[in-house]
Amino acid sequence: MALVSEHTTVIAGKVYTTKTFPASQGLVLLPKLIQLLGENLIALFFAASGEALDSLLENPEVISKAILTAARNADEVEGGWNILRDLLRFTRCDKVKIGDVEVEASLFDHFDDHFTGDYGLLIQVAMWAAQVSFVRP
Amino acid sequence: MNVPWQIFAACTMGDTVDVYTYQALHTTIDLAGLYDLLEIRDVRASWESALMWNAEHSQ
Repeated sequence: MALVSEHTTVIAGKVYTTKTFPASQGLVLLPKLIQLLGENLIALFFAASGEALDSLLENPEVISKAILTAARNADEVEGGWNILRDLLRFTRCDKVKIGDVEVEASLFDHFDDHFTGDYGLLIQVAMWAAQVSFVRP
Repeated sequence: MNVPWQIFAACTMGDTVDVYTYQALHTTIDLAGLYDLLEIRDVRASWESALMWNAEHSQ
């Protein structure tokens, strides 16, 4: 049986740590994520693991497709881009730039500080967090 | 009813509700764990069906 657990990864030289969502919250969030990014992209990300997932998260075409799909669907899905912020509710990064300093911080609390101008990084981190929470090991 | 069917299926035992499982699904059990629970109940139900069938047909 899978209990809420902590997971860590490195993306673009920064360490990200997240906890899996409790089941009740995951059941609410997953359908919204699928509406935002579409079934095909979600299936693509969720089918990959290990090096294949790393490769997918570094593929500019896949990341661009995800950004465009989210941008197109955001107005029609309840929550819009905030779905990705909700997905990062339990995610932290060791180097979040707040003002002039880089500190370890919550991505939910400092979403704008960390992702402004970098939708690609947002998709990479969000998809990793989603894989960790929603894909059965 | 606003309870997702997966939570409902995992928490109900006949006429009763397993409040500990309900609580755990909101705190310590993640989505993978919920699907494990549903699979466990599914397998148990099929065992019970098989037992009943054997009992009825062995007489």
